This record gives sequence, structure tokens and C-alpha cells, in this order.
Amino acid sequence: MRMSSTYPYPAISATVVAVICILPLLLFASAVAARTLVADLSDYRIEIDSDFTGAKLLLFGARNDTGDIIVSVRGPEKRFIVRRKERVAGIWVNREQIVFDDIPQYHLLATTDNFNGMEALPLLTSLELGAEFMAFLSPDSSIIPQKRMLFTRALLRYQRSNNLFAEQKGQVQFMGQTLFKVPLIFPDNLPRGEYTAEVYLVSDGEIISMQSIPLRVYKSGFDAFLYDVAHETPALYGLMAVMIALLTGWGVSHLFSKFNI
Amino acid sequence: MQIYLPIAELSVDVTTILALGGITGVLSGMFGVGGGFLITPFLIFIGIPPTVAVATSANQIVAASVSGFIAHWRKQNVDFRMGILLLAGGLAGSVMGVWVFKWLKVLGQIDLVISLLYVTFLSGIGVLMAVESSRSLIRKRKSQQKSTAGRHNMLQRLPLKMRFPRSRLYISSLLPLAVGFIAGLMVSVMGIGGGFLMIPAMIYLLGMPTSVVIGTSLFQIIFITANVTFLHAVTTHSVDILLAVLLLTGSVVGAQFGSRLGTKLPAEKLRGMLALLVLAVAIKLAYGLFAPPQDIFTVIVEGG
Repeated sequence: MRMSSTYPYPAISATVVAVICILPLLLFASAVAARTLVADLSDYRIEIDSDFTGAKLLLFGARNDTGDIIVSVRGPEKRFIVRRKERVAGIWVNREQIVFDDIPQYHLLATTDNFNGMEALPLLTSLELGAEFMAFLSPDSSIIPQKRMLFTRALLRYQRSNNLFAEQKGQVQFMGQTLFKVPLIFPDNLPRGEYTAEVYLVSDGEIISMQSIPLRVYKSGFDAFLYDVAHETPALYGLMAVMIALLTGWGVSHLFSKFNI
Repeated sequence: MQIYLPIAELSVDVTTILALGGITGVLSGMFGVGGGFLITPFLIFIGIPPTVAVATSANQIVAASVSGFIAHWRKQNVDFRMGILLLAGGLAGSVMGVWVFKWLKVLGQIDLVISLLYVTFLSGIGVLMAVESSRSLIRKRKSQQKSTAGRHNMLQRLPLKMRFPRSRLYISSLLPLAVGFIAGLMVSVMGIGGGFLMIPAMIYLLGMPTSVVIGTSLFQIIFITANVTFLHAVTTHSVDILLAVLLLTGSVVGAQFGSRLGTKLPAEKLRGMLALLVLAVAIKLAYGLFAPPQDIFTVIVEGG
């Protein structure tokens, strides 16, 4: 084997070799830097039993970079139908309706105190952070925007008044420069299902880092049993309901006749 | 003390529900009216979804009616023959009613139809009763025994006549069947016991004596509301047993007191009181239809 000008590999300069060796190190370093945000929930489950009057979970974490924290908790998505009444011959009647698909049944937004929503507007809109930024999708594409807005506002009003679209702005607290926490407060009418808590580290209108945590809301005990029976074996449930009513009615009547007349 | 309702999916105060059940129970025993027209709106008012309110109210009425019925039965104040015919019509009507309910729900017009029905029937019946009972209160007691006010000759000529010994009547069997059918239809759609439709119909259309009317009406209501409860449970899964148990605990006790109170009052006074109650509810509902709603928008959530 002899070295000649037709050697297949071009001469590699020392600088190129150096760069090739350092590159993995740089990547490794940036991998470490990517863990600029970690977050966790005090519990991954909310149990709804007969004493349920709401729940409080602690979301906490740490950041390795400057920026604001945004927390978004979303529940299962459902179809919402919004109807509008009009006066027909003096009586108020449901006349028009718009159907909205894939709207979360529950949404909670929590932010840090200094968070300026204005500069992060495009970000909030694209990620649908906050009830007002939800993409209100409807199968009917012929609806004019002004009308759609009236109906989406009604939907927002309804959810907000039921405490299902909630905000805890400014409630994410920093403890020192790195650690943060926020108590997430859930209402007593929390719908069951699979939820996701997303934590974002945001700076100058850009996401620096993000973490997603699953949360399950489920019913337990006697309540869950009743709910499941009602939906899965409705005939049995119906019979049960009627039997209980018949027996109680008869039972009390019997009791009364024993002690009274 | 709060308790969480599994089907309605929210927490309610136990004492409020028990009290509501108690009051409607008294009304049930006294007038033979299941109190559904009080329970359903009140449940909706405290935040229970309307479908759950209607279905659970029907469930509760079963219990209250059994309680009241037994009390009347012990006093021999039930015409079973008439009751069975009313029942037959009622079962057919209630089955059809559940289908109509479902259809109207899909159309989004269920609330309007319910209100319109309530207003029409209640005001019509209320006026009729108020007029009749005030007339008979003025009349002397003697001529009251055979009062057949409101019964037209046309009704006497209907075929398939039967004897009803307990009510001392000889009328067409088609009448109780028809009355029962319409009442059954209304029970499913309006979530009520049907008592306030049945009782005036029994007094004025069938000509039954007031003493027997309430017990017989309760007899029919038991089966119709049991049927409606079952059908609602199967079609819309909206019967909340826990809520129903709370309501009926209060109402079965109330019904016992109510039926004892009712037998102590004279028939005309009873009818007069019932007329006033019916008219009051009719006026309130009519107002609700014409007055601007709190929010012209309503939102329904469906499993998507």
C-alpha cells in the first residue's frame, strides 16, 4: 500500500478534528442545560368520594433559567352546544345553536406574578393557554365571526360561572431564584377523566422549557359504583331505583300504622 | 352537611333536600299530587341538571305516592277498577312520552315544550277548579253529594261502558283509558306525578267522588312514575339514586301526615286549595316564558 495523490480520503486538518471531538461535548453540555425546568404534582390522582367538596394539589418545581412560569391544567375534551333564545310571539324560544367540538371540560391557568400576558400573546394563542385563547372549533364553517364570538363568549361565561374555567394568575410563587410552587384549587363539580398539567418556562414571549404531568380524576367508593351501574347496566339500576322507592314508601307507611292510625 | 351526588355530579346540602322532600310529601298525601311540579324546578334552581331533576323527581314520586296510597287504602278510599284502567292508559302514554322527551331534547326545545304544557294545563285546570269549587262552597251541602258539574252529555254516550261500584259510576271505559294515557304522556315529558292533571279529570270528566279520587290517583301514579323512572334510567341515565333517597326520606314521612290532614278537610275546601295552588304555579310558569331569561344563551355538554 502506498500513499499517493489518489488517496481516497481528503486530508483532514487538525482544526476539523478538534471540532469533531468537541462537538459531542457541546451536545452533552446542552443536554444538561435543557433540563432548565423540572416540575411535579403532590398527587397524580384526585379521588371523588361522597365527601368531595373540591381538592387542592401542590404543583412545584425548579428552573435553571430566568423567565415566568405558566401552568395549564386541562380536562377531557367534550362537545359543547350553545343555544340562543329569541322572542317569538312574546315567548322566548331556542332559535339558533352552534356546536363546538373538542373543548376541555375543565381548564385552569396559573401564572407567576410578573408575567406579562401582552408580550406573550402569540404564544398563548398558539398553545391555547387560558380560556379566552381556546380554538373554538365548530363543524359549521359558514358562521360569521361576530356571531361566533357571541356564542363563544356565552360558552366562556357558562364555564366560568361553574368554576370550570378558572384562573390563578400571579399565584405561582418563587422561593428564591430557582424553586417555585402553586397550590392548584379544584372545584367540587370537577368532571372525572384524564387530565394533563403542563408547566411552561417562558421568557420574552418564547418557550424556554416545558414539562407535562398526567393527572387522573376518578370517582371512588359507593358513588363510582352507582355511576357505573347507572351507565353500564341501566336496566338493573332503574329497577333498583324503583324497588328502593317502593320499599321505602311501604316501609314508612307500615311504621306509621304501627305507632299511629 | 354536604353530600356528593354521583349522577348529578355535584354536592348538595342534606337538610335542604330533606326539607324539600318533606314539604312535597305533605302535598302528595293531602292532594294526591306527587309534588313533582315543586321538586323539579327547585332541584334545577339549586344547580341539578334538568334531565337529572326530572328523572330523579319521578323516582321520588314513586315512594311518596306509595306512602300516601297505603294510608288512603286503609280507609277504603281507592277504586281499583277505575285505577287499573287509568293505569293501562297511563303505561301506554308514559312509554310514548319518554320517546317524545328524547326527541324534543335532540331538537333543543324540551324546556319550552315543558313550560308551555305546564302553563296550558295548569291554567286551564286551575280556572276550572277555582270556578267549580267556589260555586260549590256557596251551594248548600245537600245538593253537593251528586254534583256532576262539568260532565257533558256527550261523554255519556261513549261506548264500552263498565260499572265502577266504588265510585258509583256507569261510564265508558274509554274515558279512564284516555285520561290515563294523556296523564302518562305528561308524566314522562314534564317529570311530574300527573296528579294535578288526573284529579280534576277524575272529578270533572269521570265524575268520581272526591273522597276516592286522591287514593285512586296515587295508585295509578305509583306505577306510572315507576315506569317513567325505569325508562329514564335506561334511555338517559339520569336518575340519581342518592338524591332520590334523600328526597324520599323526607317525602314519605310528609305524605303520611299529608294524607291524614287531607281526610279531615271537606272536599270543596280541598279542591279550592288545590285550585289556588295550581293557578299560582301556572302564573309563575307563564311569567317565566314571557319574561326575558337571565341568559339568552344556554350551554349543553355532551360526551365528545
